[in-house]
Amino acid sequence: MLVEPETIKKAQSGDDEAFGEIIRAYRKRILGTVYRMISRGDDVEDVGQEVFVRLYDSISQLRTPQVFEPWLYRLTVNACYDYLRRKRREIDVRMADLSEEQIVAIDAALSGRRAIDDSHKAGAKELLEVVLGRVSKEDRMLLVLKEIEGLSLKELSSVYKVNTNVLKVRLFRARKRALKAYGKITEEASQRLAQTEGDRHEDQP
Amino acid sequence: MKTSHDELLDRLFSVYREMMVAFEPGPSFVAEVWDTIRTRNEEQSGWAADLVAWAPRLALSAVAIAGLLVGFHWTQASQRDESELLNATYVDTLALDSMDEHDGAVWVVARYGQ
Repeated sequence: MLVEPETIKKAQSGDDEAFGEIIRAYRKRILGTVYRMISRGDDVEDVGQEVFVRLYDSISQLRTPQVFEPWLYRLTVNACYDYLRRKRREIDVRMADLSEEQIVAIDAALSGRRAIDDSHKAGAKELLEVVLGRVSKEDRMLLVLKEIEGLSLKELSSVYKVNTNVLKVRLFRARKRALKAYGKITEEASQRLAQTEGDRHEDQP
Repeated sequence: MKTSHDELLDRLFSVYREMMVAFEPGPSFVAEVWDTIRTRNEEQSGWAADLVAWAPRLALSAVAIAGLLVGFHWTQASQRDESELLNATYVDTLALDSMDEHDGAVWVVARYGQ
C-alpha cells in the first residue's frame, strides 16, 4: 500500500489532511489506470476526480484498511464504466501511426523466441492499445487490471466481488477475444502489405 | 498449459508494461478534487438546510389542514343526525326505542324502503 493503514483510519474518521495524503499518494496510479481503461487523454483527470470524490463519500464504509486498494480499484472501474456509458461509445483506438510493415514486423518479433528490440517496442505498445480497443470495455478493463496493473486473482475477486474460479473463466475468455482481435489486425495488415507489393510488381515494366 | 498464442499475448503485455509511462496529473489536480468535494457538500448541506427551515411550516400547515378536515366531517355528521331527528315523528322515535334490533331493521325497511 502507498499509505499507512493509520492514515486510512484517520481519513475514515473525517481527517481531511489524511485524505489529502491519500489523494497525493494514489493520483498517478489511478490516473494511469483510468487512462488505460478509457483511452481518452482529455477526460482522464475528470474521471480521476470522480474516483476520489466517490472515495471521500464512501471511505467511512470501508471495513478494514487492508482492503483499501481493491476498494479504490472498484471505485475506479465503476467510474470508468459510468463514463463510457455516459459517452455511449466503445473505445475507439485507431492505428494512426502504425504502418502495415510495422505491424507485420512486430508480429514476427513477438512470434519469435528472441528478445524484442527497442525499435519494435513502441510499436508493440501501440499495437496492444489497438487490440484492447477492439475488445469490449468489460474485457479491456479486466485485462488492464490483471495484465498491466498486475492485480492478483485474489485482489481482482475483491474488486469484482466474484470468486477466483469465475474470474479465471472470464480472464480466459477475455484473453481469447484479445488474441482473436490481434490475429485479425495482423492478418489484415499482411493482406494489405501483400496487395501493395503485388500492385508494385504489376506497375514495374 | 499455455499455447504459443498465449505466450505472444504475454510478451505483448510485458512490452507494454516496460514502455508504460506514469500519467502525470496537472498541478491543480488535488485542489480541483477538493473544490469538487466542497461544492458537492455545500449543495447537499444547502438542500438539507432548506428542508430544516421549511419543516416547522410544513408541519403547521399539515396540522391546520387536518383540523379543517376533522371540523368539516364533524359538522356534516351533526347536521345529518339533526335532520334525521327533525324528520322523524314522536311516535316513530318511541317505536324505534322500544324495538329490538331485528324488529327495528324490519320497521326501517318497511318505513323507508330498500
